[in-house]
Parts: sequence; structure tokens; C-alpha cells
Amino acid sequence: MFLESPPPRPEPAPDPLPLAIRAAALGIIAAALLVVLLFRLWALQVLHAGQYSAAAVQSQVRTSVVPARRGDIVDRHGDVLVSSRTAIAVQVNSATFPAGTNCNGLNRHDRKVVIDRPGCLVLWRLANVIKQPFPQVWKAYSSRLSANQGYPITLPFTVTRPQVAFMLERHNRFPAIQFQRTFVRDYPALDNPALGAINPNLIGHVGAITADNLTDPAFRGENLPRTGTAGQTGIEKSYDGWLRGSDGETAQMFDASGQPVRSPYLVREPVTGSTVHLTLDGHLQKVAQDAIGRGIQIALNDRQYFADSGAVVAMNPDTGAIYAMASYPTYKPTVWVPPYAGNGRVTDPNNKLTPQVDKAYAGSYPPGSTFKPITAVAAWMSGLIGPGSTRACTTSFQSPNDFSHHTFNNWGPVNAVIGLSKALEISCDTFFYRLGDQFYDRYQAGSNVFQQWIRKLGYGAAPTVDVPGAVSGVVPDQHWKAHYPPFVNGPNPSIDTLWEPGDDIQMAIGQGYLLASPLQQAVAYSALENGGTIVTPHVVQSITGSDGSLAPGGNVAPKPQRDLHLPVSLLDEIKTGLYGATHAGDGTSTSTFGSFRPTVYGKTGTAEVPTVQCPDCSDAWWAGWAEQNGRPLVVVAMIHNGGHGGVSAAPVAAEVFADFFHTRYQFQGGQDQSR
Amino acid sequence: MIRHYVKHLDYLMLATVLSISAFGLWIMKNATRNDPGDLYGHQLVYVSVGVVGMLVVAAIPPAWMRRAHWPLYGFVLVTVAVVLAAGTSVNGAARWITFAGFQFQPSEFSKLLLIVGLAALLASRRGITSPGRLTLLSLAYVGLPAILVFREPDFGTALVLAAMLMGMLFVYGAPWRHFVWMLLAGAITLALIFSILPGAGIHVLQTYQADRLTAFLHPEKLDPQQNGYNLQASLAAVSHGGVGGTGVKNATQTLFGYLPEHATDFVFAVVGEERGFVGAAWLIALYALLLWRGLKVITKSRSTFGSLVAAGVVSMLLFQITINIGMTIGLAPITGIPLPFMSFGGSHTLTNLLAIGVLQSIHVHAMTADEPRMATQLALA
Repeated sequence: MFLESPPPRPEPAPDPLPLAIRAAALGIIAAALLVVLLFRLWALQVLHAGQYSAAAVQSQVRTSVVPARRGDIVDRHGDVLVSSRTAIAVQVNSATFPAGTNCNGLNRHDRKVVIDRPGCLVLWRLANVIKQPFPQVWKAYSSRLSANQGYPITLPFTVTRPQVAFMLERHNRFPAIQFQRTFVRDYPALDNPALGAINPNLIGHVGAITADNLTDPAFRGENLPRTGTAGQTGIEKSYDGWLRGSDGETAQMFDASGQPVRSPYLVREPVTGSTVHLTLDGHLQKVAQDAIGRGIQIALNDRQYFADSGAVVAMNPDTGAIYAMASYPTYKPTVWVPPYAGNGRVTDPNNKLTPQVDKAYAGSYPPGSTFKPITAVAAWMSGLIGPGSTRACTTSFQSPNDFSHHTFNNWGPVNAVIGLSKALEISCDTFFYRLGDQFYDRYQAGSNVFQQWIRKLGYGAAPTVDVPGAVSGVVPDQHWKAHYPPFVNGPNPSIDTLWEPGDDIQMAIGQGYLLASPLQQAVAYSALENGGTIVTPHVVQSITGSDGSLAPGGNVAPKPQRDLHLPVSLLDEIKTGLYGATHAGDGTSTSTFGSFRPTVYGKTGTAEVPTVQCPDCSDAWWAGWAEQNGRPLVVVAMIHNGGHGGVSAAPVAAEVFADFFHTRYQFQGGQDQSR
Repeated sequence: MIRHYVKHLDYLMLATVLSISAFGLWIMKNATRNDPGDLYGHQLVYVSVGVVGMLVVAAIPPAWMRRAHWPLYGFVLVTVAVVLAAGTSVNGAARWITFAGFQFQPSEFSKLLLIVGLAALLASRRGITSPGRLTLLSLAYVGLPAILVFREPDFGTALVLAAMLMGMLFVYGAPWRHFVWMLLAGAITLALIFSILPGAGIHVLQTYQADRLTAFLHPEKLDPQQNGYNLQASLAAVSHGGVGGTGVKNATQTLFGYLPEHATDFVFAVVGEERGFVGAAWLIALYALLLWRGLKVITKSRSTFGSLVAAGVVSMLLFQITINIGMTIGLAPITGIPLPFMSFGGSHTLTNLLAIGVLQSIHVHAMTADEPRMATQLALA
């Protein structure tokens, strides 16, 4: 009944007024709803336009780095020592590389295992193409993965264009492998015979940024990126902020499935790094480097069979600008750039010659007799000696302070009372033993005045040179001895840690526990030459933008450290002594410098460094200066286990002077009259 | 006859519908340029067939439709039941019947058929059955297919049916009390579905369905991987459009796959991105114009049946437009309701165009002499 269909008949007409009102009401409802929609659209698209889309669009664009060209390093004449060339680096995109890949312990013969691990298979194929050992490729990737998860990881291998083409043609066999144009260091000077020597430790090298770099205070203020390269040693490191320029950026839009769409566009141009101008003279550096080799040869000919390394420092004594700083053995800086030829030998921890330790500023040795002028300064300034003072130069000496009555011998058979300059001329040990003994008296009276003056001359603290790694050497005193672990933990600590007369006595002739680097010696001798100012040694003189104009803050002219106010009488007496040492009949390097032009003033040193294999070994030293036409030069040369300073070290220094002052010099071994 | 027909078509309505459809095709063409398949081509066919069908239906006298309403109702029930029993699933929802190589959605056609049916029912019992019984009868008449549709599951269409029912009853003149009761019942049902029953362990809606519906209430908390992604992407696309739109080439959200369902549910977001506020407002204005013409038919119609059909069509269109657009801009739950004349899809494009055809039929025949003469109507504005 409810649902019966009644017979169709015309039904009453709909009541017009209420119908119209109801229709109107429906219309109003409709209008209201649409207006609400419009308001919301207005808010979304006009008032807060882009608010919801900004984050979305941003996540759809990925940026990648356009590496900047690193700045050049040029010598003082503008010759380019270090430059850059373009190369292609291979990257693994860790965002799309199979996660959880582990190829530990696999080598290139484990193909059957590798096949089952997709990630390892890709790396294995890559290793084959770029001709690198598979374990190394795996290690290169895995060691960088944790710091760079989700980003392309640049491997330290460059690839050739044919290799790139090969892999791109088979890109489905090399998923997640991509390539980036990059720069590697280039050393044009090596091919130039006039320049072809670069001190690789001093110049330094560029390497992939490591986790240690990110926390290294040397890079503070630089905001290192997580990927990329940075200078790891030498000038490349200390001037990394200037050299690296700033990377550019390109952006690429991706669609929802991760495919790149449209072409990448440049967001920011890369800025080439600044050019670093060194104080070094490229040609003088080569002369110095070769001279050490020849000095070692002389030592070997002199039956010093353990001569194996050495160093030269050539410095402007008035400004501290270093013109040459060479270390032997050396190596080509190309060991740090692909294809890394020779890298293994250089970085081998079993390499006893430690080529990465620069002997000029990162190695320290007992200075021997070259230290005597420093003892003289200390003695004069603490009032032990003065103008006209003399001491007995006997064949031996025993200290009244010394309960063991040890006999300290002179090297030569002189027996006379002499003044300071003569003592320097003939390098009389016992003269200086007596001064050392007097310093011991001072110690007993509570004063470490000897060490104080030694330190004022720059020993015992790393010189403030603008490359990392300079060592401080050792200026021993009672405190040092009391805390020196081999003494403290040795069999007789109570005796071994005592400061004894022999310690001051030995130190007076540059032996004992005293250690110094050739650079420190150069700074001290510069003070003797320039009237008593301790200069700040530096290897960089200015920094320019890539357009050649001086960069802001780019004028490197470090001020001297301190003025010692040494009296002219002292300096004159020392100078007289050093003149005698190079010109007098009994001078210790007369054979080398007697007729040398310009006039050279300097001191030899033969520092005993006995070892079990070589109980008679000595380090050969020569330190001094010359000056011509207002241009002075300090040179320090050292041959480790080189024997007598006058025989093997003096000629090395002479060669450097000759090139600097453009005088002729015939390289030959010095005569054995030196100490 | 034909001259009469041509003379009395509502040309403004026709022009508006054709404009919206053309606009929809244009948007579809650009938005799907990176998509596989030829969505634009298919939609072109659907629209063409629909326009022809609209013009044909406009020529059918409303009285004929009215006479056939019981068989049509039976057809609705049968097809919806068949969907439930043996439907083809897409995206986890079984809403389609595949017949002779075509897929069609019975729930879409049911909307139009139920409008006609309910209008006939209400018109013929006016003054005979009590208002209360009539309301209940209407609820049952629409409710039965609605529940079947809901079980497909097609929550969106079920809601549209509810909205149609409300609109028709309202225009019919059902007492206010009835609406209060019905809204109350609706609120209680919502509470039951979303809180009470789940609390007792009975889940009327699947969790994903419930999340989808409530996602629009808290867009910030959305995990892009889950339900809220569609809304976030839509908001991003609309917001990206700004005042004037990005144009086709820079419509990155649409073109590069970041906007899901950009040809169907979220086609309005494409309009928002490509054409900006100007384009979106223009489209809304066109819809407003269309709805106005529909409202005019309500008052112009000479019969209760005609007015009710018009009311049903207007309610249906209004509800779909509001919910779909609201869904893309975060004001309404995500319910899978397509945007009339814009979204891709044969069944609903056809349904909506035929519905306009029915409106036109009523408009045309409102002027014929063979309908009983009625008192003059007060036209709307």
C-alpha cells in the first residue's frame, strides 16, 4: 500500500511563492559555499602565494657543486710553481647506490662472490675500467660513505675520456656512477730545468677533505664543505682559504620518480682562488736542492758512509723572507696527483729517510759548533764576558762543579789564552766549556740565564713561519730533564733527572740534549747579521686575486718578533770571529770561502750524533751570511751524518751564495780543518 | 516540434556547460602531456558523446522519463548489486562493471536515475501521503542504493546521494523538523562511525578510509608517504599558481608527477597551478552561472516533477563542485568525488552532461502547451 503507484493524474501546481523562496534559499546556500571556496583560494594564491609550494619546489630541485679552480702558487719572480689542470673525477652517487653494500676482504679474483652483491659488482667493474685495485676502490668508497651518506661521493681517481665514454655507453652496468669535472694540481716548473725543484713538503699537497680536517683549527673560519679537497700540508694548507676560491652551484629539477627534467642551470659561478706569491726564488731553490745532493756525495767520498739527508735554508736576514728552503731526500709533488706514481714509497711508514719530514724546518739536530756564537751572546748579555775578555783555550777542561771530574776535550791541540773572536775563528771548545761552566754556577745560584738567552734567539720554540709543521727543537733545562720520560722511567731516575755541569758545558758547544732546526739557526744568525732583531720567517709575500690585483689583506709582511738590543761591540766581535773562520789560515771554512766574493762570514759545525751502527757519525753544519749591494743573505746548510761541516756543508752554502750573488764558484769538497 | 525545441533551449546554460567542458579538455590536454596513455583523446570522445546525448535527452519530454522511473530504479539496484558481486576493482575499489570491453560505473548513472525516480515519487504522492511518511519513503528509496554504493566502497557517491535527497526534499517543501531530525541522525552516524564503534572494536570504515577523510583537518601533521600526501601536493600546486598561474610550462607540480590524480580528483589543483587565482575564480564563476540557470529551471518548471528534478540536479552539481574543489584546497575531506565537466572519466562526464540534458528538457517543455496550464511562476532574479 505504501508503495502502490497511484493512477497518474495531474498534480496540483507547485505553490509558487514558497517554491521561489526555497529555490532562492538553495541559491543562497550555493553562493555562500562558492564564496567560501573563493576566500580560501584567495588566501592560498594571493595572500600567501607560494607558501605551500616553496618547500615542495625546493625539495624537487637538487643542487650540485661546480668546483672552483684553485689559485696558483708562484715564486718571487712570478714563475708558476703550482697550477691546476682539469681532470674528470669519478663519483659514486650514494643516494642511488645499493645500500648496505659490503665488499670487505674481496679482491678482483672473487668474481663469483661479487656477482651476488650488486653494489660490489658495480665497484668491481669500475675498478677494472679505471685500472685500480678493486679493494682500493671499495676502500675509497666505504671510507667516505659515513660522512657523505645520500650525496655523490668523489673517489680519488681520475678517469680518461675513453673510460668515461665506455661507462656511459653501458650505464646500466654502472648504475650510480657519475662523473664530475674537477681540477688537479699541476707542476709546470718541474719540466723547466732552470726551476725544476719544488720542495713538496713546503709547497704541500691537496687531498680529499677528511673528518680530521673538519675539526682542525688550521681551517677555522674557512667553512670547509664536507666533500671536496683541501690543502693537507705545507703552503697548500696554511693558505688554503685563499687558494681554494669558492665553488659554484648548479641546480637540476627532478620529477616525482627521481628523473632529471629540463637542463641544469647555473645558480652561482665558481670563483677561482687567489694567487699566492712566494718569497722563494725558484731557481735558487733548485740550486740549493742540487747542492745538498752534491754535499752528500762529498761526505760519502769523505768516508762518511751514513750521510743520507740534509737541508738548506737561505733567508733575507732583514725581512725574514725565505728565498730557498730545501730538504733532502725530496720527491716530486706529482705523487699526490693522479696517477700517484711513487706515492707508495713516499708514504711508506717503513721508509727510514722519512721524505715527508722536511729536514729544514720539521727536523731538529744538535747544532754543534755553529751554536758557539749563540753561547757568546748569552755569555756577553749575562755579563760573563765583555769587550776584551779572554779565556784559556786548553786541550781539555774539567769543571770544578763536576763531582765526576769528567774531562771535556778540545778537538784541536791549541793551548793559549784567547779572546772571543779568536775562539770563534778556531772554534775552540774549551773556551766555551768554561763559559758553560760559569752558566752552571748561575744555575746553582738559581738563574737559568743561559737558556733564557738561547730562547730569546728563537731556539726551543717553533718559529712562527707560515707553513705548518715547524718544530721547536729542544732547549734543555732542569725542568726538561726532570720530566723527560726516558730519564723518569729509566733505571736511575734520581740521578738521570738531575741538571749537571756537563749539561751546560755540552750545551755551550751546541751538543748535549740541545736540538735545533736549520730554520731556527737561520733566524738566530739573521739576528747576528741585522743587529739583534729576531725576524719572522715567512715563505709568502703577497696574495693577489686571479686578475692580478692585490687581494684585501694580501700583503704579507710580518713584523719582527722582538729586538734583542745586542750591543754593537758584541756583534762586531762575533763578526770578526766569523770573518776569521772563513778567511784566516786557521779558519774552519777558509778553504771554501777564503777567496769567495762577496765576503762571507760564517761558522762551521760538526755535531756528534753517535748511533749504535755509527759511533763516530756527526752532522755537518755551516751557518753564516754575506752581503752585496745592499742585498744580504743568510744561509744555513746541514748534512746529516755528513762528517765535518767545513768539508761537506760549507761547499753547499757556497753554491747557494754563488748563485744568489752571481759569482763564480767551483764546487769542491772543503779541506778537513773544520769543527 | 523541432523549431519549438530549438527556440526554447536555455542557450546560456548550454554555452556555460560547453565552456566548462572545453576548458576542461584544454586543461586535460596540457596536464596529461607527460602521462602515459591518451587521456585527452578518451575524454574528448566522452565529452562529444555526452554533448550529443545531452541534446538528445533535451528533446525527450519529462513525462516519458517520469513514466519509466520504476524500471529505471530497478536498473539502478540491479547494476549496483552486480558491481558489489562481480565488479572490477581499480585502486582497491570495486566500482566498475566491465561490459563489452567498456568500463562503466553504475554508481554514477544511479545519481541521475535516482533524481528522476525520487522526483517522480515525490511529485505523484504530493497531497496523498503524509509529509512524514513521504520523507521516510524518500530515505528508503535513496537509502537502499546508497548503502549498496557505500559498500563498494564509494563513500563519495553515497554522500552525493544524500545531498541530492536533502536538496530535493528542501525544495519539495518538507517540514523543517524533518531536516533537524535527519541532520541529527547524520551527526550521530558520523560519531558512531568515527569514534564510538571503533572504540568498541567495530570498524565500519577501514582505517585508511577514516584517515583519508579526516586528513584535511590537520594538514601539518601529515607524513608525505601516507594519506596526507595528496592534500599536501594539491596545496603545493594551487599555492604555486599564485595570482596569474605559472602557465603550462612552469607547472612543475603537475608536469613532473608531484600532483597525484591530476586528471581526476585533483584536476582543480591543475587549474590552480596553471591558471592561478584568476583561472580558478573564472571557473568558479562559470559554475555559479550554471547553477543559477539550474535554479531558474526550478522556478520556471510547470510541474512539481520538473522542479524536483531540477533541484536534484542542482544539488548534485553543487555538492560535487563544492566538495571536489574544497578537497583540493584543504576545506573538505578527500572523497573521490570528481569535478563535473572537468575530471577525466566516461561515466560521470556522461552522467553530468545527460543531467544538463534533463534540465534542458524541463526548460524546453516548461514552455509547451501540452503540459497542464499552471499558475504563473515567479522567476528568480
